Amino acid sequence: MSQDPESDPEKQEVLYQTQIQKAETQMNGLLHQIFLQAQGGQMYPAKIPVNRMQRVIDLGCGDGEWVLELSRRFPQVQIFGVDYDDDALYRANVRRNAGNFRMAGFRKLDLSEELQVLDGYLDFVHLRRCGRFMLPERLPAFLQECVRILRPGGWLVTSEVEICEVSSPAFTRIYAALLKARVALKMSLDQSGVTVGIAAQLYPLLIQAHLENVTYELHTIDLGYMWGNYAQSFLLEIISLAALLKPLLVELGLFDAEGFDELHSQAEKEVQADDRCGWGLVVTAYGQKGGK
Amino acid sequence: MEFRDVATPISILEQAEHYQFTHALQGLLPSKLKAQTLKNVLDLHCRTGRWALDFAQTYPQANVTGLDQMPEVIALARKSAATGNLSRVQFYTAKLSEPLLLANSTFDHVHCFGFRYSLSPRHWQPLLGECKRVMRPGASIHLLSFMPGLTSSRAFQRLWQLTDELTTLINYDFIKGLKHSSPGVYFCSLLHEVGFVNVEYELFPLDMGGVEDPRNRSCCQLFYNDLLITRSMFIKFQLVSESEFDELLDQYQQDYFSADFCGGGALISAYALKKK
Repeated sequence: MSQDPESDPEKQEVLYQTQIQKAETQMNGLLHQIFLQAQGGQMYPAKIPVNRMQRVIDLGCGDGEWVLELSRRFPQVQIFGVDYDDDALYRANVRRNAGNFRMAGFRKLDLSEELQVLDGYLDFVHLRRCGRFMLPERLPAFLQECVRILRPGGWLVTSEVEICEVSSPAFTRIYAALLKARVALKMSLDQSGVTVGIAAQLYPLLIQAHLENVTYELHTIDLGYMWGNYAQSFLLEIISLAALLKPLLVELGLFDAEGFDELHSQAEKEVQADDRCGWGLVVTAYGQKGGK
Repeated sequence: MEFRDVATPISILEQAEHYQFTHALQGLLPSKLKAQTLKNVLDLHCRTGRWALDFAQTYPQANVTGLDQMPEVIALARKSAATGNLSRVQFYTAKLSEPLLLANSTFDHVHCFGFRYSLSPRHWQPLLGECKRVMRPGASIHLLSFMPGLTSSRAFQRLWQLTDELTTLINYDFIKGLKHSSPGVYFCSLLHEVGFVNVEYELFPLDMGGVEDPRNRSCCQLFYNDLLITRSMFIKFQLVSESEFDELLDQYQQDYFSADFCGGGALISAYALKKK
């Protein structure tokens, strides 16, 4: 690779990280459907008594799907959504104003800094796809912040998705390269590059954060033809993300430029096949703050 | 390390694993199938016979034939059948990569639990062709496979990566040159290719860790045993040094017995019919 003296590798790395995070934010609506399907329509673990709660926060709320859906089910509960993405917050507010969601609100908050929320203010902190806005190395400190803003006895719920297998050889090759790119960009918790790794680490991380009654639930995501269009759109979004990162994938020596283009169109074809099969997992790890 | 050295613990582990799988599936068959109408049933890759024996015990009208390529597991299966006094179950050693020595249009149902190493990928299509031949028109076929999806053990993730590399080296990669591919996700397209109809699949999550049920660990232990059995191959292909491999294996075992271990996979269940 020719080294451009002007280029700063660290800046370049941040740029790629931002690209991935931005692309994943755009997938939020699809991911909301995927989470709901995986969990059989359930938005949080059954034992959490939302009906008896006063204040709930969704960190990294994106377009506000989760917040507004919860607000529809529990109109008396105050539900906050925070994100750092202005576009996502704009869309969330438009949807809030279009419906009757008096107790739901959205706010811009930088989740990479100390949260501007009072100690013990919340009954329930919800955190889905934290890898979308947070580098894994920051996760332990961030979870401490989440615990701080919970009242004693309050619940922290975290969910992540892991794509496992898809019956498309071209997609599988591209996805394997994306996993390697994540390792190179320090956006992975699995150095082997077999998985993204955040989903599997949520449970040990919550235990390390000294929560009580920590447990996890496991759900499968159907990425095959039996679930239809959502799965297909999701896989196509991932292929477009890879196209966005093509310069990085080439730079890392994972593909040559032409090889990638060929594989890219092959993958698009294969994930639209009538007999496509595939699956992923959703891990929802959760626990309660002690000292009630 | 030879297979027979670890054969006994395997049969116990397989029992636990069989329990887990049937629990996940909520039965021995896909829910839409009526077991009472099945007289002749074939179990391919039956291993120590857990499914075949359980099926015969549950459905007294059924005759079950179990086939596996390893004489060691067939001996164990026969012993269990004799202990349970189940003469309606027969076990035979048979190479699944060769034509089955069974008559045409004999079976009402075929059950097959396929593992990554149970059959070389190029043999799957001919085997399913053979299944179709020995099935009577209208009979059903049920293919199952289990794959881990994620674990919190860094040692296991590294061992898994090495397993992927080994798979490619010994030509057990399901799609040529493609790591991390198992038969499960290709069941539907294989069934289509061979000419089965009404092909459907279902997915079931399988917890490999957590604190709720100690039985969850049986899958981890079976992987551990598989790794132990194939240890010499990792060394022979120089994928890893002996000491590193042993360290990884020890670490993996420590990890999956620890209270903060998280691991999960999916059971893929594909179901189809032979045209009437």
